[in-house]
Amino acid sequence: MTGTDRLFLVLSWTIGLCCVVFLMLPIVITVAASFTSSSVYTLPPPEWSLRWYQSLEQRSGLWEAVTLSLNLALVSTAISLVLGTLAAVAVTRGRFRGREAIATFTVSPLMMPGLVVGVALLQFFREIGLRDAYWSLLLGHIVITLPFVMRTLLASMSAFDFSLVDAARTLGLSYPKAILKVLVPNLAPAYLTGGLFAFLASMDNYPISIFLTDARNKTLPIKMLQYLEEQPDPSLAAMSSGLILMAVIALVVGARTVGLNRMIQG
Amino acid sequence: MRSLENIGLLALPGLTFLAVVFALPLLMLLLKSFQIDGQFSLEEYRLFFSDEYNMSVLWRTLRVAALTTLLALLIAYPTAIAMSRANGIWLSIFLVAMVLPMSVGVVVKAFAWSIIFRTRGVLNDTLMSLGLIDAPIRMLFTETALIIGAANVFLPFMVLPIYAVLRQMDSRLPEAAASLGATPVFRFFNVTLPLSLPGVVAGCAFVFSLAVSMYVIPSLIVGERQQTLSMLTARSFLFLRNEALGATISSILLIIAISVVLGSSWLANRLGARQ
Amino acid sequence: MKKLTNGVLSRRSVLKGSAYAALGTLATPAILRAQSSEIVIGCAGSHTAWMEEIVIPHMKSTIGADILFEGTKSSVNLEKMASNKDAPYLSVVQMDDPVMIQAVEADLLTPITADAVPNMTDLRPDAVHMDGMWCNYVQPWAGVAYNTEFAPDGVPSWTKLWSPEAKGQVIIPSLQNTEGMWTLFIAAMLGSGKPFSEAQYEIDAAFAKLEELKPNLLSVYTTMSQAFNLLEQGEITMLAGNFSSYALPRKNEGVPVDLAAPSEGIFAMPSGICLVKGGPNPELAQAYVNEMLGPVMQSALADFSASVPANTTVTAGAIIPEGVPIYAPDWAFVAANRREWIERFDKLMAL
Repeated sequence: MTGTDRLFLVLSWTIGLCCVVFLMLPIVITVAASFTSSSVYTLPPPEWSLRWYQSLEQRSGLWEAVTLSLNLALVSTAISLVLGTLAAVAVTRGRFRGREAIATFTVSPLMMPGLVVGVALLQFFREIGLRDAYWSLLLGHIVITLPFVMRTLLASMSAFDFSLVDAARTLGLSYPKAILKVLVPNLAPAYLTGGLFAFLASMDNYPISIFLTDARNKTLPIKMLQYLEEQPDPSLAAMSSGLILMAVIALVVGARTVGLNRMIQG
Repeated sequence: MRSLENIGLLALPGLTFLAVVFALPLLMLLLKSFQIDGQFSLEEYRLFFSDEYNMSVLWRTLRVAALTTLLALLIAYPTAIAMSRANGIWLSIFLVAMVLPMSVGVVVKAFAWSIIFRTRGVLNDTLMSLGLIDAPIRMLFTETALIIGAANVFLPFMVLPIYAVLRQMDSRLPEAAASLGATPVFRFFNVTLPLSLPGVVAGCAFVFSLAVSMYVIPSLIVGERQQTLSMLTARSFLFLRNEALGATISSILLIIAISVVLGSSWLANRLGARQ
Repeated sequence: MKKLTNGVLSRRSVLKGSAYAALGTLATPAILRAQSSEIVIGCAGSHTAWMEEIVIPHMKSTIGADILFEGTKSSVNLEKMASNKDAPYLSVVQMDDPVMIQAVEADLLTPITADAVPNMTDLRPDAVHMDGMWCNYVQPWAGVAYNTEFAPDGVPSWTKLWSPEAKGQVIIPSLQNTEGMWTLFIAAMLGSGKPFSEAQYEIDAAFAKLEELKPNLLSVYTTMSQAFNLLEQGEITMLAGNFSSYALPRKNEGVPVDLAAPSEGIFAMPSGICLVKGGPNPELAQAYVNEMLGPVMQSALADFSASVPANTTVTAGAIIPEGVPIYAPDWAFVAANRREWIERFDKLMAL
């Protein structure tokens, strides 16, 4: 390894670690602010306290919102992964024109302000007689999760050596089996990335959901914003810290059971 | 047995879904921008472009989206390289840093940023105690704060696609180039960078698309005094209840975003192909 | 290149399991279908606390209704009402007068009549609009919210917003928000020098005066909670147009803020309630509105949200600051011009 190589690596690691700090900053501030004894959402607190966690007990419907959001995020991500794999294989392997256009079309839902998609979907669904909030929400969420999955898979598949799939087929595997046994494991980092993006984009979506929810089906971001509009107090920070804790648990469980680390290492 | 010619059909379910549940509803809405009293007309577009204020908003939207993408790329590329060399606990730390922030909504992050950026806030206090500034500087409601805040939210969408491609890349390639006597700089520009381009293009497409259409982030971080196209869209649809105007602005936004993303990926392909 | 992994199968079965779990929960919403005692109310997010604590239990015990509510922005509620016009699912909506006018224009409301809603006859005459298309129920009052640590003397006059020492210390609402109108009207009064009844039509004077406010403005908001948080943190000292149902409960929480009633006058927030045209369960919806206008709910809500009751038989509620005129503008004039004002305002305020 030459000196330039080493300099290059040191620089990458320095920026990488700064990036970690930068990304974690809002999280740390939010968690710290949730332990304040004051009613003002700020730092530093006059004293530390758990009162905002206790206040969460009186919040009705919070748990229902969490389950609905998890449900939507899981189902829409799963559907997107299937549709996205098929489309990405087709675009990478197929011999037709306009593949660049397709790749761009798949991310185009992200380019529209969510609210425009929300208004368009609301009017369209009512026009065709779809009134059920759950199904409206699910379809809307697939629209925003699919781009993440498709685009991530496309990027990785274009660098994938498809002769491996062909080799597996000469060994007697059917095409779908070859895809599942060879392509998917080899693209594990991309699947994990795309799946994560999709899941989190669904969990955090506000502007599309706001038009498609009804009084019975409220997703978590909608519920949280409703509380925020009521009072700008630190209970919002406490709720968010609860979500962060859930994400930590999910990551730990994921690392233990499905081997997240192994998956992202590819 | 499926031939390679028919493999394109696999794209149909996904594309059909997007066409029916995304493109069709959107088209039905956006077509309203070409109609005045049921007649085809480009009047809405002429009006939009003849207004100086709208042009300043358009320019601000593009500038903020481009700078956010650039900032994210500058941070993300080295990070993705470090991450692709990381293992064990370090890889976990990177992964956690990418995922955990996304478990918190944008609104909550905006509150955190206002605590950091405010005049008597964390950042100003730190800078002052370090002696870098004499008096607190105003950071809230500035375009710089918006770009930093937006890059913070969108960074994972840049890092992970680049990481996924880098990780997949055969690490022996640059080594082979090195053994052939290639300098590190030559290796980076001629081996690593071209091979990672698909990831860079995907990441930039994500971040630019998200940044050009973001609504909640600018409305909280810079407020209504520095409007973006999506804020104008929201205003038209929800408050002015002028669907034609809203549809016009959304169409302009969509056309610009698509051309930027298509143009940059075409450029990247050309650059990649030349290597 | 890479090895073929063996761990694929176990991973796949985990995914399969979670997919079944998701499908299981997917079926539940359909079971919880509407029963006849259920009505859905559209309201603002800020209504959540009193809807949950006061209205829902009261409606259950008096009229036997199970209340579900959607607390979101009025403009979003209006968009949903318009899209569901052929088969509405909201029965009653609580929103501000300017949005009510838009709803009437779009033919989304049905009038409230004294036959079906007897308590309507006890309302102040000016609380009933457009022949009963909607009524005001309780009305908070609006002035200037300020930080008591950084503005210990309060805000005796609206002119304090314009004073040189308030540079960068003021946030005002966007004209897109109902409470944004108050800064405009005060600017009209200060700019034209006329009394409110005439000044509210002097919009050019208002915009000229608003332009002078620009150096003092830190920002213009559409999300009130964020602007209010900056006031609580002391980043700004004054938040114009804020109102009693929001600011006073925060003060009671011990937050260092208060609501001033400047001498030039304060405003009555136009909180309205209406019946949705063709909405489900119309009798129950009328009973709900009747209860909301009746003395029990009026005094409970007025106390809870520091508001002025519209029912003349009720004496509870907000203590309106004495000696300060309280204004209600000509909403029809506002509705006719608001779109143009919003565009003009945004251009004027732009940096």
